[in-house]
Order: sequence, then structure tokens, then C-alpha cells
Amino acid sequence: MVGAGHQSLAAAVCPMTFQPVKIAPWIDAKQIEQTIENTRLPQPRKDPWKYTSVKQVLERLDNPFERTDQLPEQNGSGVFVGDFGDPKISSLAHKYVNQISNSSNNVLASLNLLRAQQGYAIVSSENNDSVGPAVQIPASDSCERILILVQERANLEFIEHTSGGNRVIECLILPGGQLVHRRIQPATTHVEYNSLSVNVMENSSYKMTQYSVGAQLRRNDIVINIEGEGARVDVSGGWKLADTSHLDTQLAVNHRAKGATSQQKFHGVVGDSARAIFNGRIYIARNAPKTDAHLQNKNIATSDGAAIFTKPELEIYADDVACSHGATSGQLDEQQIFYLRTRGIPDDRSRELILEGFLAEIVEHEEGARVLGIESKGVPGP
Amino acid sequence: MTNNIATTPEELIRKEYTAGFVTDIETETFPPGLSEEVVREISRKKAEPEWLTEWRLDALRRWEKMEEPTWAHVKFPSIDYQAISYFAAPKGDKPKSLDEVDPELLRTYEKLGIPLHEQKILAGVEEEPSQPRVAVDAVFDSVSITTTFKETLKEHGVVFCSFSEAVQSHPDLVKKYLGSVVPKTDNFYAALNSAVFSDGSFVYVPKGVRCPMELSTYFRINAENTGQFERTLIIADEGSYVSYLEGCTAPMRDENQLHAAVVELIALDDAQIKYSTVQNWYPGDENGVGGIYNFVTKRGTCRGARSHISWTQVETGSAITWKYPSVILRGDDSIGEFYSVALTNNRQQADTGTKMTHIGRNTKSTIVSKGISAGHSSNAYRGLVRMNPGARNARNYTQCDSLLIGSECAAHTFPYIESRRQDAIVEHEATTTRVSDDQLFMCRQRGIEPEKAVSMIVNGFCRDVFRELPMEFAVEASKLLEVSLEGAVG
Repeated sequence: MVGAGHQSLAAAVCPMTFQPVKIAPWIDAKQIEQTIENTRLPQPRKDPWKYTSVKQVLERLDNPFERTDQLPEQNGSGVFVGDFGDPKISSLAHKYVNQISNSSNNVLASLNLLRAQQGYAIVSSENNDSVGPAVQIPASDSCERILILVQERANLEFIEHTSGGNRVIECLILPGGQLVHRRIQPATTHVEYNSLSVNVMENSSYKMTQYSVGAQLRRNDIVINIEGEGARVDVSGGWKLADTSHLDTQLAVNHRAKGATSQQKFHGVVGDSARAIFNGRIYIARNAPKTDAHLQNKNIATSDGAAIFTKPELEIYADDVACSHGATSGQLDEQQIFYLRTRGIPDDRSRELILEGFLAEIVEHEEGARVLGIESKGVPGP
Repeated sequence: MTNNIATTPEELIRKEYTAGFVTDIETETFPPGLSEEVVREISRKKAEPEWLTEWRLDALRRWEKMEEPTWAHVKFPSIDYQAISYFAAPKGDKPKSLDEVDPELLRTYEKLGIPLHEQKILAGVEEEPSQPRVAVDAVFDSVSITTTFKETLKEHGVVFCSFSEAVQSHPDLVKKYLGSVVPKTDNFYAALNSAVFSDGSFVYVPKGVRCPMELSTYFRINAENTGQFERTLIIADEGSYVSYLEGCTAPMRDENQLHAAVVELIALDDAQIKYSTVQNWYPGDENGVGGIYNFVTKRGTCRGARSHISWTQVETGSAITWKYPSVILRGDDSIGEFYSVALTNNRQQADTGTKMTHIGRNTKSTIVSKGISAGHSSNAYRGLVRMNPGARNARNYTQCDSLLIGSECAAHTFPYIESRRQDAIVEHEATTTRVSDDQLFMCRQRGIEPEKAVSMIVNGFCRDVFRELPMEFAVEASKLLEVSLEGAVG
């Protein structure tokens, strides 16, 4: 049975119905194909594809993507944006692309490199102590490959919009660097796949927020590798799903160096016949003592057709650590509704207010509040 | 610090296994290998009816087509199922009374502290009228040696006997319920068990009866190159109550032995089953040589309204423990509970937890799991809480904590939560910590030896589970942890 699943997936992967654009001369398609051949393909209905159809994601890769030549605008100083063919970028891109994501053994990321219609890098210069305006990565339903490099002691902030495409981002944060990543995922009727791999080096920090609403199918694979001592990772976000939307977030924080801290905090509201899947994993290697890692995922279902699948995982090989996780799933608290009703607030509005409050706990900026459809009043500023 | 305190946890973590002796007794053993003929022979030995032989053969045919699962967080060399002997029993006819039991066997149980004479209770103290009594079914390799207090129980209408005996005396009940909770193709090891199961216990508590004493089964593996494949079936009829205890040990050997049991519990309307396990199979030596592979399927179904099933387990033995005592909450207002302490030391591996499937309305489940890892061991909690669309107002609360002793061990948590119901509430929390220096310092400052201090801290960590155990077992479990952790910290 497992074998048969592999065969059908392989058949879905192999035929290429369109000619991809070579996004950089150094991309060795043969070698990537070889890697894919040697990699174990995702198995349907098994972790980590237990609740989401990998077939749909692969089929989407087979459909021609629109090519866009538009690069993110380069507004501030201290940051450079260029496509993989740009001589200033080429050697860096050659060095890092598919290296960071490869470490997590992601066959879909390799496939993305074969099919990518566009590839570019965002590179900060060293020691750029002032944070300029955030770089905007626009929404696109294309197949894209992005490299983000934060040089030593540099700062970088980018805002990413996703919308029905296939996007793989690799980030490398060199010692002392700081990266702020805001991901906005508005509604789309497409199948969307996002893979994000981040390597965080010593004393650097990575802060990410992700706010999502409905999609036909949206899958976010996020792997954060803490490779240096004293690094800090803070990932949070939320979702508000309705109709038949399907959102699957697979987030792994791998502690591979000592004395680092990580936080994961996600709140979700799931209504109608929507499905929310969250798998949050904390991995602590033997050489990562003095780690402090915490994860929290809370869900509220607002209809009986809604489905919530959550799995907070801990995999720990070091003893001197403090780790915890918590996950809840439930409905609106009747007592809270009663409290608001006694103050003259109608039932519908009471429910809205409580849900807004629940999501506001994880919203950190206006744009996040907007996409989740909660009023900006009372939402803390950036 | 005094000199007698070792410097590293690795030096200190040693485990003495006191139940590791071999009983020298003549045994009838099948030659190794598994085939239809072997299955027929087991069935013939037990003079089983035709339907049961066919049931076993069907399970074997299905098992042969199944693939061994590999998803658990455990590693072991592949098992050669043709190298195992599927039946071993002391020679001679089954004794009709305790007087006919081989004295060597009686001595074995005496050594293990299991009272087979009806005047004694589990702790080995002479009975006083006010003290509770425990009825024991003693299973030695593939057969049940004796079952105590059968007559007393019979007066209350309670059936407590070996599974083989139940097939003869209560065939209707066996036929009705066998495989009704764990179908024969449920999983690889359950299918294997369904084909070759030998003995286990059978309990039936009739309507409205509160079982007058604790029932218990003591499993002992003795023969070499064998596996143990027992089958236990407990049926609590409407409004009844039963508390059942299970214990197990095996000799120390360099080979690994397979224990693949199936336990099925059925609780009808308003019935309650409390199932407690103190698992102390031989865990292998400090280098991971030998020990039992404990691959067990345990599941209960709360079939009736307001029924209640509670699993309590203390797992300290076995080279590998791979089991998930589960509850299917079918009846409205039914309750499922799981309390577990799993301790791994040296090279032991455990992947254990529970599954709570909420189907009925207002069903409730509680999971409390405490994992303790020491030495080079690996200890994983794996759980599933599923709220089906019909489970109106269902509730679950899960707490699973891990304690690490030493820097070479590992602790993992894999809890699956699946909710398809708006008004179902699921709460899960987990922590992983080590025995903190502050706690140890506080104890040392008050003149408590480090080993005693760790033992106290571990016992405190496990308290929520221990208090669910019947009193006799709570004492035993507490002692077992002390032995297991002997010299754990400096």
C-alpha cells in the first residue's frame, strides 16, 4: 500500500508539462533531479501529510506558473535586492540556495527550485545599525525562490504577502544579526505552498508573525534551526478560517546550540466547515543544554463542521532544559458571553468581541489585525 | 560532599532486577516456528471449539499479509517470527487444585511475593478479616497454573478464571465479546496474538454486582526462546464494578523475548472497570542486552451510558515498551481515564500513551502521564484525543510531564488532538524538566541522602498516578521506583 502511494506520487512529480525558466546559470537541474530521486517522497495520510493532500500540492506544481519579473522595491539603504543572475548576488546565492532548506530534507523545496519562475535574494549589509523601511515581498501566484541573508550585526525587516503560489524562502542570520519577518496570508481560492527555512547563528534573533485567513488549501512548512549559542527565536501568529478553507502549518524549531530561547504562540478561530492543522515541534539536541523553549496553540471552533487537528511535539535529548507546551481546542466561553450580555451587548456582538480579544492576544501590528478582520482598536502597535 | 557519593549520574544509575531468576522445571515447548499447523496444535491442546480454531487461522492468514509497523520512536533489530516458540507449559496435566501444583512453581510465586494460598494477601501478610483479599490468576509461560478464590467469587456470580477455561465454561460470552474491542486485524501484533494467544484471564461481573475483592493476574515468562501471547477479556455488566490488577516479571536472559498481549475491556451501562498494571518485565542489562519486547494492545470500550474505564499503569520494566491503553467512549456520559508512570533507565525504550475516542455525548476523559528518563534511555508519550462529530459537550484534560535524570537520556511528547465538534473542550499541557539543583539542595540541607532525595522527588512527581493505584500496588510501585533509581544522582 505504501509502495503504491509512492508510485502515484512519483508519477505526479516526474512529468513536466511546461518548460521552466532557468533562474540562474548555476542551477544544476540534473543534480537536483538526482537528489529528488534519492529522497523519500512524502507519504499520503502519514505524518507530516496526515491531514493535507500532498497530491494537490504536487499537482499545483505541474500547472504553468505566471512569470513575474518584478522584484521587491529597494527603499532603504543597507539592504540590497537582486535576482539570482545579478553578479552581486550570484556567488552568494550559489553558496546558500538549497543548502538551508536541504538540511531539513524537504523534497518539495528541491522541486520548487526546478520549477521556479523567479529567484532573488535580499541581502543586508554588515553592521547596518538602523532599520530602514521594511522590504515588501508582494503576493504572487508564481513559483518563486527567495534567499534572505542578514549579515553580521545587521538588521533586516521584511513583510511577505502570499497568495496561491509556491514559494520557498531560505534565511540565514549571521552572528549578531536580527531579522523581523511579517507574513500576511490573505484569502485565496488557490492551492498554496510555502516553505520557510531559517538558520539562526549565535546571538542573532529571528522574529516572525504569520496571520492567515482562508484558502482552498494552504500549507506552511517552517523549519527554524538554531545553530548558534544565545540565539532568540519568537514565532507567533493566528488564523481565522471560514467556509471550506484548509490551513496546515507545520512548524519545527530545532535547538542545536546551547543557551538559546524560543517561543511559539498561535491562536486560531475556525468556523463553518474549515480545517485548521497545526503541528508545532520543539527539538532539543544533546549539545543544546540551557535551552528555554515554549509552545502554545489555542483554538476556538465556532461551528460544528469545523475541524481542528493540533499536535504540539517535544523531542528532547538534553537534560538541563526548561520546555513546555500547551494546546487547547474548545468553543467560546459561555460565562464570558454572559458577562457581556449583562452589560447590554447583544449576543452576536458579544461573540465577535470575545473572538477579537482572543486573536488580539497574538496580533502585533495593524496589517495583521486587518487581515484577520479584527478592529484595530485596542491592538498594540508594532 | 562525602566520598561514597559517585560523581556522575551515569556511574550511579544501576538497576537491580530481583525477579530475574529461572525456575528449573520440566517444560513442554513447541519447536520454534509459526504455521497453520502450530495454530491448530495450540487450539487442539486447549480443546477449543471449531469456530475458535477458524478464528485463529483467519487471524494468522491476515497477519501474514500485514507489514510490521515502524512509526514508533523505538529501535530494535528485526524480529524473526519463525525463531520463536509459540507454546511453552510446565509438563503434565493442569492441576485441579493448589495441592497438585508443582512445589517448584509454588516456590517461584512465593519468591515473587505473589500469594497463591488463599489465606494470604498480596503483600504477603496473614489475612485479618478486615483486610481486603486479592484473587490471583497465575499465568506461567503459556498456561494458567491456578486461580484463587474462584468459589468465593462464584457465590457473588463473578466469573474469574483463565481464558482457556472460559472458552469451555462460558463459550457464549467469549464468542460474543472476543475481538469486539480489538479486532483481530487491528494491528500487526494484535493479529499475531489473535492467531497464537495462549492463556490470560477472563472476568465477567454480572449486573449490579460489586466485585467483593481485587482480582489480579500475575504473568511470568520462564521458558527460553518463547514469547508470551496472553489474552485478557473483562466484561462488566450493567451497574457492576471490578478492580483488576496485573503484574509481570521474567528471568534475566541475553536474548530478547516477545510479549504481545491483547486486553479487551467492556463496560456496559453504569459499570466501572479499574485496570491497574505494574509492569516489571526484565529490562535488559545496562548495555541493553536482553530484555522483553512488550508490544501490547490494550483497549476498553465504554459501551453503556455512564460507564467508566480507568487505566493505571506503572511501567518500569521491558527493554522496549510499546503500548497505548485506550478507551472508546461510546456510551453517553461515560468516563475514560489514563494514569501512567513510565520509567526508563539504561538502554530501555518506551513509546507509550493512550487514545481517547469520544463518540457519545457528555463523555469525559482525563490523561495524566509522567515519564522519567535516566541513563541512556528514551521515553516517549504518544497520545490521541479524538472528538467525533456526535460527541456533544465532550471534555478532555491531558497533562504529561517528563523528568530527565542525566544528560544522555531523551524524553519526547507526541500528542495528537483531533476535534470535530464545536462544544468539545480539549486541554493539553506538557512540561519537561530535570530534577532541579534547588530541590536537591533543599533536601540535602535537611540531611537527606542524595539518593533518598531523588527518590522522594520522583515519588512526588508521580504522586498523581500512585494515588490512583490500589493500596497494595501503590506500595509495590513506590518500592519499584526506589530500586530502579538506586544511586541515580550525586
